[in-house]
Amino acid sequence: MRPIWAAPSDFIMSDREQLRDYVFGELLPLSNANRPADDASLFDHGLDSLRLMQLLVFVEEKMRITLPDHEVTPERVETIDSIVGWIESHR
Amino acid sequence: MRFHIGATVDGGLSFFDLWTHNCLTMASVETDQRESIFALLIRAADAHGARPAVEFADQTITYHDLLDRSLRLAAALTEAGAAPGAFVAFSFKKSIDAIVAMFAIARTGATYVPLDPTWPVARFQAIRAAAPFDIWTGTVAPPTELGKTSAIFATTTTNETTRTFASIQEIREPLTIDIVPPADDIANVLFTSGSTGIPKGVQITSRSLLHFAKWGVETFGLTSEDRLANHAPYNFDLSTFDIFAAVAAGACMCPIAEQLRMFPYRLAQDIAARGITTWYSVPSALALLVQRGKLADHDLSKMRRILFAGEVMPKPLLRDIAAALPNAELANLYGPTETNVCTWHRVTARDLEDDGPLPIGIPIDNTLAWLIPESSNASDVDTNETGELLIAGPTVTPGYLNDAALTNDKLIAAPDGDGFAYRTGDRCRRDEDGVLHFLGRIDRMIKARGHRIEPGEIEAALETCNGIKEVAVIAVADETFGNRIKACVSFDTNAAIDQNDRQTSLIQFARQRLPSYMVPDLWEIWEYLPRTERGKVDYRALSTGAPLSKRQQT
Repeated sequence: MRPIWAAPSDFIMSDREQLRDYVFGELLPLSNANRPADDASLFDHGLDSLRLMQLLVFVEEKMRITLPDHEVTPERVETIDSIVGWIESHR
Repeated sequence: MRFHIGATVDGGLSFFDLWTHNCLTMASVETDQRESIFALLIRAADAHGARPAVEFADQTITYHDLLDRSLRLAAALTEAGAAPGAFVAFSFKKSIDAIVAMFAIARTGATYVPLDPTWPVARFQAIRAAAPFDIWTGTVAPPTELGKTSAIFATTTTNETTRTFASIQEIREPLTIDIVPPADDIANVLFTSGSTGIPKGVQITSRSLLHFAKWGVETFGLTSEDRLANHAPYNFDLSTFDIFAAVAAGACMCPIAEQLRMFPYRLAQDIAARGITTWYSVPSALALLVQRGKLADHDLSKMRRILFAGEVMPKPLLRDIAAALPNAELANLYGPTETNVCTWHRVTARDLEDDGPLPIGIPIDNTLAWLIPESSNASDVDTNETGELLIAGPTVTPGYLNDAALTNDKLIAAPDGDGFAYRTGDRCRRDEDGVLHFLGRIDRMIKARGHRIEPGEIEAALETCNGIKEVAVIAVADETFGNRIKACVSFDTNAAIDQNDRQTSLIQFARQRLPSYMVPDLWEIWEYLPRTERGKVDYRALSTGAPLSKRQQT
């Protein structure tokens, strides 16, 4: 017997879709109806130090983007919009 | 080293076995029991009145100002009913007001009850049921769901019933009346995870805080030139070092803003800019700093001491810290909330070289440690044998709030016959040099990011969620964070709800009931949980998944 639920496997998605999927599917799980807009503060939805580090690891490993440590600021990680903008600046 | 003759206690009821054991004691610190923690502030203001007491967000107050503000707030609190035996809610983000309120409450003789502002209101309610506070102090007013309190003091306010700290400074005269707290007065109550599902309130005496502060100042040579970071939240006993040892030394308290904890590079910049000399945190906070803070980019040459506690320090991380901060001495402090710090170990060059786990060291001043056999049939524990660590000393709690049964279970007659000793639940051994080594927990308690977490409390919370059939919570080892929390759940089969929706609503449910550090990081839905032959949840199978996959195939 294995767990009958697992995170959806990766397929071709935009950065934004992939990020939303990870953030609200796994990192800060919210049902579809409760997912906030892309400009909502993730800090209000439970983003903390552990989850932020997991998010950075996800972006670096799964999305294959290197994010310099000194760029990790509240402004860049606060919303889906700001994270997407940050990722795009390194594409 | 002294040798004591004593007896272990069977089930906390009767002495059953005479045995001898060595206890380390270094009688150099004598804490005057009549002294209050407020006396520390009076002395600091006398000796270092013009020096900075707290520095936060570009604001600094001197010891003279801190004393004055605390006395004015104490006058308002006393009028509102704060007195020895009363509880006052203390719900602050890091701020100067928090320190003012902490000392003001101490001055009134009341007990402060730290409530992390991020906790769900359900937890505030559970704590209020145990520690019935009627006065609220905090960064903001209490949530309305908490019900009425007779007085509210807050930094910011949106209604007229709340008094702001700023207004009190203008209208109040400093409190002058004498208040004599009882000999073993309770300075604060720290609520920690309880295995039955209800948080338990650990009563911390003023005597404990004074002893710890004095020990800290003497052991680490703190002076008024020092600048102590305060990283840990106020509901966490680590913060009592940053506050009371700092005041005892007349040093400057440098609270770390909550959000900065998430941004290691910014945090390292902040540490450098503020010239912090002394840091005390859980190892995982140091892991973030070392891994993501690029310490080489910052001038951290003023850092003199890195102290850590709360969970096991991994050796690779210890080496990284030592390499990044060559001017700093490193020390491992050990102790559950019930004892505050009770043993400690100064990191040596040899510790950095060998691969063995870092020792938890030797007892602090005036503190005794014993290792008692876990099974009552066994004889006493010899060098290098394992036993449960037992602690007696001035920092040990007198017991849990309103829970005599638990108190009697955990505080047993000390083996030397002198008072009580706390059963830590930690399995330890003592080596040839008398140094203690932590080996693991006797029960299921999990340490994650320095917080102690009873899986039973999370399970009890989740079990009340509709549609849940079974829940089991286990730890998953994590390189940076020590442990992550995994919840394995199964649902009622007949409820026709999508698994994903069930999972997300369950997580929402958990967030409304548990502090964020107790909300599981990982979730797994099982058809049914694996059980042992005796019908108990098979935790091993949950962490590996293997035994049941095999069974399913057959």
